[in-house]
Amino acid sequence: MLAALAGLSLALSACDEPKPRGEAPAELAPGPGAARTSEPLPPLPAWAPEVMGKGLREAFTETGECVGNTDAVGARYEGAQPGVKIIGWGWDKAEKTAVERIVLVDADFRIVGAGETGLPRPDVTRAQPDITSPTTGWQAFTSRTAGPLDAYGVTSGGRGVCPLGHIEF
Amino acid sequence: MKRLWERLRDGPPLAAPRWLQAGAYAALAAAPICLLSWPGFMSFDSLLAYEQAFTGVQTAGWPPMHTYLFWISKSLGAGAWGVFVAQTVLLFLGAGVVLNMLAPGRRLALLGQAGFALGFVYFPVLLGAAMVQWRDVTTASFGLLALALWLAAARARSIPLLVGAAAAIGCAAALRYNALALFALVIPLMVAAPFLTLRAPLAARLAGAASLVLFIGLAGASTVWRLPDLQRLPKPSNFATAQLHDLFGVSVCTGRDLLPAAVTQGAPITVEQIRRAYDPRHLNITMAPKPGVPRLYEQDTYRATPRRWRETIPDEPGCYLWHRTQIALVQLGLPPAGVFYPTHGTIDPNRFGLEVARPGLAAAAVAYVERNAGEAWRRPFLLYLAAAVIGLAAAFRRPEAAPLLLALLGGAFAYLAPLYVAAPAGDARYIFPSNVLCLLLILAGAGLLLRRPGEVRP
Repeated sequence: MLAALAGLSLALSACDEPKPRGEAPAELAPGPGAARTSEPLPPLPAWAPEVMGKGLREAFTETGECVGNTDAVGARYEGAQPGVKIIGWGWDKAEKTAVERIVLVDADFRIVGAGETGLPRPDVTRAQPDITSPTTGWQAFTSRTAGPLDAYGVTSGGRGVCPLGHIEF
Repeated sequence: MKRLWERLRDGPPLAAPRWLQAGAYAALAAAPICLLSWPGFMSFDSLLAYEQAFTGVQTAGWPPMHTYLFWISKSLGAGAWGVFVAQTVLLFLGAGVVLNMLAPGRRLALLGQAGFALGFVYFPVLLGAAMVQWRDVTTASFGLLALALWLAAARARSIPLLVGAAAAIGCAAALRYNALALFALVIPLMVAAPFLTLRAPLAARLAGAASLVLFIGLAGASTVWRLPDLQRLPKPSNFATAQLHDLFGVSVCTGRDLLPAAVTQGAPITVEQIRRAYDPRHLNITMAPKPGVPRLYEQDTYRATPRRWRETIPDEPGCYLWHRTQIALVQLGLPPAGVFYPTHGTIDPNRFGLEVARPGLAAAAVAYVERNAGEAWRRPFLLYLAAAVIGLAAAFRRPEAAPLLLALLGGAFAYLAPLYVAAPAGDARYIFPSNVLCLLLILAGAGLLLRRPGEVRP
């Protein structure tokens, strides 16, 4: 699984701007490729409740500049509180640092999920040496179990966002 | 009554087309326009068409015919300027021939031709568009050529010329999806009276009908399959721009926020803010940042705009028509602010090294157009008013020419109809083909009014 993700990231790193990708490749689609667990959805970061349910630009008015991607559904939670984990990576080009916070928005641009970076992504630094942080990987959680989502990195001291990609699951 | 029937049956008297004289006139009239903006101002559309002449056609968002013309021009060693020269010369050649054939006497034909050329100076929207490599101009050029060939066919009772007229109509239709509206009444007349007389032989009627079907069919096919490999082109998807503009307009009219969430990316927006943002001239002006209005985004990942358009527009026909009327009024130059985007005024940055040859001259011409296009008595709606008055008067005074005149007048107004519902903006150039048809009709109608009944020149 990790090898597949690393390979995919390397392939995608050739195109560093996030973009809508349509249907996820079979190996990343929920099902055999995404871990299923009977555990409940993990709690969102402490800062998330303040923005959950708001419109994206209601919560973040500025626009940052990032590179990154929304890679896959990392896990599907099927317990009492169902939901999914989305994984990807993000780099704030202006601050030259990993994007710290992530929000997930639905088709109506409502914030429906949140997460943080800090996961090791050596494949990213190998493919793009100008990205110096080894921990640009992020994971974000949402109670949505289906449908399209867009991931945004929080930038500009919490006032802005930048797109990190799109996923359908 | 019998006399009226005979006049209708015999059709209008047509003088010699004098192609050589018209060609010389066309060269003379086209030269200053070409010199002003050489090798022709080019905007995004024209540069894309030119680029595709090198890369092959990639999209049907803009009809590929423009690319094929650039390809021919490039193959002949003329690069981008070949299309510019051809479209400008053809425009005046077509008008010159039509005026030669309809005017009473050579002197009045020459006066008509001079009037047609001076019309481009008097109505800056005509000059402004003619200086640009816009398909609207090429469409008009093929349209006037078609008319000239048809009249020549009628006079000479020539089936090959009739087929040529049908081919020119096909070229115009291949350049602009809505160009057929310009010929909405000409086409049935070409079939019913291919030589402008009810005495036409059946062979001419059949040839007219068959060639129109063939060339209009080919025009349609050219927007579906590309040359030379006949691969199917992706369906054009740029109607969403007009749909989003519609949603702004209908929101303003109804006083309700009908915009998809993607437009503000979830930021709240009030109707007052939508009103402040809305501009019937163009979606880009509507979307431009304005103080006190949330930032607006055109990106529509989920295709929410077409969905919202389908959900809301059928319920708001009055407001939809109000908004579309605002756009049409801008095209016609009726609002106090005058016309919008009368010329492009430059060649956009490109990788082909194309740039304006005489920047000073071009800047002076652009300044003239922009300064004068909005003057009250030089706006395009006047062309339609004058064409209607003179065209109807000439049709009344010269019943033998009435079918032709009414077909042309009807075509000029019919051309506005599809634009009324589909135009993505109020650009003045969108109605360039019907503008020049009106100008031609004014001059040809005036000539017919001056002609003595029964007068025919050799």
